[in-house]
Amino acid sequence: MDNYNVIGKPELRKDSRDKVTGATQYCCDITLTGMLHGAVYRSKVPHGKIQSVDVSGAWEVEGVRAVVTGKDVPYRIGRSIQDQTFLAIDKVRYQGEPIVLVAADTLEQAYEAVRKVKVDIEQLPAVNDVLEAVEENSPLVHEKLEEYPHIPTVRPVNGTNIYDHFTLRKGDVEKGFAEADVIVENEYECAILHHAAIENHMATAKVDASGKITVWSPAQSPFYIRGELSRALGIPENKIRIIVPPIGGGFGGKLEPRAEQLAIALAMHTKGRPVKVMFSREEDFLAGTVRAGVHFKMKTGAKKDGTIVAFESTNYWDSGAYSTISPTVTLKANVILAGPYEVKNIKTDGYCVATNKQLGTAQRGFGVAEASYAHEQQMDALAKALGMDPLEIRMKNIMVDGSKASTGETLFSVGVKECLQEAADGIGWKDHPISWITKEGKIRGRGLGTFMKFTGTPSYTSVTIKFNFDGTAIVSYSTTELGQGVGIVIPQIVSEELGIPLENISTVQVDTENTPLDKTTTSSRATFHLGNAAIKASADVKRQICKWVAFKWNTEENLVKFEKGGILVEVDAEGTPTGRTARMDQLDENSLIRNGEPILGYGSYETTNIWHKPDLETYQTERLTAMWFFGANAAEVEIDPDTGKTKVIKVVAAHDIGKALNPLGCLQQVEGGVVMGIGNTLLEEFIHRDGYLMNGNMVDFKIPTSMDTDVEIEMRLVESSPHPEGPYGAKGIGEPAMCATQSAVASAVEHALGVPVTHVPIKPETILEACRKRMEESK
Amino acid sequence: MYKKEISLTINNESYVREVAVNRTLLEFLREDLGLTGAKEGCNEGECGACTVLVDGKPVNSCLMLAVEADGSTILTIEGLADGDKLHPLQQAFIDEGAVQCGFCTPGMIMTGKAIIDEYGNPSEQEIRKLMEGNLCRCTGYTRVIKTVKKTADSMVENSDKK
Amino acid sequence: MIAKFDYHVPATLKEACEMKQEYGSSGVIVAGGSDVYAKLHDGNHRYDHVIDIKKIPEMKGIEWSEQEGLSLGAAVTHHEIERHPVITERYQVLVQGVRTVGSLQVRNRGTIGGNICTAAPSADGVGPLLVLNSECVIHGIGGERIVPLAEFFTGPKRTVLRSDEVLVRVRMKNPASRYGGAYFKYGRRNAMEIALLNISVYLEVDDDNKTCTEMRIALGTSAPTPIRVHKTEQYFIGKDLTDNEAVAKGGDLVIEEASPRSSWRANSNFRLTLLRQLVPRTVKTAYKSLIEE
Repeated sequence: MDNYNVIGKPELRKDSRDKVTGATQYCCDITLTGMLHGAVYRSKVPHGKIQSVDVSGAWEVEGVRAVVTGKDVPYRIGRSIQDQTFLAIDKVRYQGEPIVLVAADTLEQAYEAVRKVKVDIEQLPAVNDVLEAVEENSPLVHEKLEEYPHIPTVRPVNGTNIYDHFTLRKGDVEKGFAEADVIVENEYECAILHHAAIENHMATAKVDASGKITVWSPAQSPFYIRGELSRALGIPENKIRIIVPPIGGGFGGKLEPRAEQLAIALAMHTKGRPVKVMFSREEDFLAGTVRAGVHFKMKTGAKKDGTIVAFESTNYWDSGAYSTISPTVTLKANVILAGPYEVKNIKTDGYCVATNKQLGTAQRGFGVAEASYAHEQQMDALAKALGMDPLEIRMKNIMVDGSKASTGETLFSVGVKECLQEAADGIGWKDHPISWITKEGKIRGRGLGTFMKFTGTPSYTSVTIKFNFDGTAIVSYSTTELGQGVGIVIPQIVSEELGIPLENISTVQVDTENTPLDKTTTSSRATFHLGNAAIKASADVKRQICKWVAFKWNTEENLVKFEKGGILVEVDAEGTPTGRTARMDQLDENSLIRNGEPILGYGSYETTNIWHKPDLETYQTERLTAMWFFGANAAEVEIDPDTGKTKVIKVVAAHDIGKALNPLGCLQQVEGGVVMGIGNTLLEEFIHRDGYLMNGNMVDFKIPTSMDTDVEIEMRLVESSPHPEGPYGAKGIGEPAMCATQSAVASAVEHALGVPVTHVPIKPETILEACRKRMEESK
Repeated sequence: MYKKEISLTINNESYVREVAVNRTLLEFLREDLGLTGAKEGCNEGECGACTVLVDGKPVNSCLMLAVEADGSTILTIEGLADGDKLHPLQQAFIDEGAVQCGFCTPGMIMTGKAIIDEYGNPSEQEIRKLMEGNLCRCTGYTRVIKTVKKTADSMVENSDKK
Repeated sequence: MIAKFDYHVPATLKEACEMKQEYGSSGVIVAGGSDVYAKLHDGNHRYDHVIDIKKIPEMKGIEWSEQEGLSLGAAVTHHEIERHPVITERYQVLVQGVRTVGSLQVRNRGTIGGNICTAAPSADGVGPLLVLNSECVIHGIGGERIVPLAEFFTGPKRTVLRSDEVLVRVRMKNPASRYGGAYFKYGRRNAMEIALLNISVYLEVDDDNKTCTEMRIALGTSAPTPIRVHKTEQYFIGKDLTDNEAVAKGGDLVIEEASPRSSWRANSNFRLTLLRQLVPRTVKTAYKSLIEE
């Protein structure tokens, strides 16, 4: 049994009191002296050439202080490909693309001025469908994709709408399929959907007389945005300061700069007055970011005994009008597209494709939930083709320690088999048929989903700890709090390491000028990376404290030892305790550190040294990532054959957590993740017609309500495979929490109806027919 | 008229202000009075992040004009605690872990409080129904619904004792 | 952000009618504002004049008597209706309908008059009022007139209200002492929805507890306006409501009377399939409510 004080305990979050009293100041709550309000004129059409922009009417509105057009701010951003300007200049590529900005004394005036802007656009045919987009005669979203600067690992295909063509080659698939006794080939689709955090995108920016830019923004990854802006504007990084108040939900949607560049563009023209740009909900849907749609073609071959021998996929990601981080989504999904199953021969081709739609980006899992849905449908199809039990075929192929991943690397710390067993046990897999009809005439089905995912590597982060003379500590880091609970886990680690009470530890608002460097708040990486850095920073604090206590005790620094639970012990040269001790939480009372050398601990963690660069053609490597996540969900659903509606009855979520540092935090992530997964699977989709978004509002884009979520959620944390490099063995849970829900629910629906689920969200229209057949068969 | 003087009581304090008639109650609270606890999430009455109580009833303050609140008594999240003593529902949201990003939380708590006030101790199913207008993307609602139920249970129990 | 407008609060019906007449299409009548202000927020809609009618005495309050039945002021909120003791006891079908309007917050502001006058084919309050044989009390400059609710709608978002007229009250006789009522709303979500279709049923049976003597069925989002389906209703008269096959046949008939449109929300075939299955189901629910009373 672990002997920890606070690690592994369901400690309560530190920021809740402010949140329940309305005291928390989110970005939208901050008002600055002299602040102006910005509003945006956006393209009403999905694709067209800008013929003229007339802003004279806007200037006539009282209170208008700045009007900015694309030519005023011709700066390019784009993490993968620098394909996006702050404002559209010659062409618009999606409905909602910003064209003109206005800043005025009041928001009402700014809106009024935007209404007076006249933009003449010659409409072009919109690229609406991802499969049509890759055809030879498709109109082009970007005429000269190849002319944009791009990072070397992304390979745009000239003269096409293909931002990137990702390739993975392991073994020999031809040979593999030749050995197969059975081959299943299917296509699957996932709709575009929106993160729909309750807080919209927004930013407030100020440019001071020296040209320094300060931005207040709910940016998930402020250093990433700072880097983008620095490069785009040609301004050094120390001249751009991003302050991040608590974030009202991110889920990947607040990774990309969206409002930041607009607020800056205005602030560059307001003579030092700050400008606030808040997206309305409609703007957030149109011009925030989305989870890309995807079309998978999947082919899997297996032996009679169920052993998978070959897997092949070509897939097309509907990534929208600008590339953002979408190539990484395509990549991450393709690497795990065969699932957490050991397959000797794999070939995948992932195409990240431009369309005249909203911008695809990261969304809680970077494509893994979509991939999991597709690979789990394939597993069910294989089970059916071979007459095997769906659990059995999964168990037959599931990865274990020592398995070779799609990248060819040898895996360690693999707990997915245990997870799958736990999930199956939790849903009562062996006690029930996988499908049955209830007394009330409803169709029930149970299904399974597994996933594996890797965290972005190489990566880096850092932590500083200011240790006060009174024994309290202030911990600084730049992983942002967006509801995931980093603000409790890191203090727990520091508390554990320093042996001081949790309530003595506070954290600092993220601010690129004051909190230490961090790569990003994505990829479920905070506990692992930041946790390691926090342990190192704590060690640094301890070293400094030991030094001072040694000075006070008039002994050698190496003769003061730090023991678990926060006790300092003096030892003699032989290492025997002398009897002199001090407690960490009583250092001040014993006058051991006050007025001594100020204590500032620093710790960093980076993973460049463990990372082996994959071969770009095959994506084979010795080690791709610092950490692989694994897990499995099992779901039971009930389908109403009159309405075609699906209700999720129960989800069992088993996660290979390594070590749960805060089980309550894990449960919060899992409960929220499962419900988000259910929404993704049953309700949420963007509906486009010719590039126009039909349902960009909260009524028509349907995230689950409290009435859609009466589902029993059982979490099972598997701690049998601690990560040797993780803090206390921990891995991550943020994205994993929802990565296998979609697949388990889809699998359950498939089993209920007896037909493959080829599209998510699963719509009542498409299952009504299957229901009727199923009911007839049962009669 | 384009502007109107209104007088109202907010969180037990009285206010007399002149407001533009097209100003929503939410804008009035947030921008004129600095009561930023209620949030704008959609401005279409869907998300419930702007929920405040007007004469005890939960409403979307984004869909109500400030002038319509003339003469009424308003409670916002800032006025719910009694000094340092949190309302039992606020305390329960903390203790049960019903808060994640927290952006929807003020609206959730105001609706929850109104439900307990009006319905006493409704069933979990009833609470789900009555909380339908408060959207949340973090929690999956599980903890929120349980917390309201638990608080209602204990408040009823306490009032029975008294 | 709602664009600037001039705000009027008429104190009398006469003032309201005159204002409506005067401002024409540049004005809008508002009660709870849950539809109008939501629409004005999007920036694409604006009115120069907002006429807030909820202070007018005649439009307020719920009145009920054994002789006259129920009378709802147009400015009565959905929440007032769903919490009213007599309505919850005797007009359950109406409660079922209004309880699905928006959220508690919306029902605290939104009014039954607004639900009717917006004239959306999907209105949740209208179907139940139709099967309760409601009538509208309308006031104009020239005086008052009564129009059956079934004749109130002339098309999507269009009503019989003339340029000077406002809806004052909606009223209905008491339902039979024994009747069955049910409201079924179909949306993709289970809340915060605009109905993809809705079904309201009111029925009475003979002393044998199964022979149908009265059947009223209203459909929402199944035609340009909320409708009653009289042929289907007629079919049910004299049928044994415990006879599943006979009840199911009502579903085949009802789709002859419905004409739902196809939109990106749902195509008409899907809506018809649902109607075929869900009208009989709603009839059964209504019947069950009567039997289990």
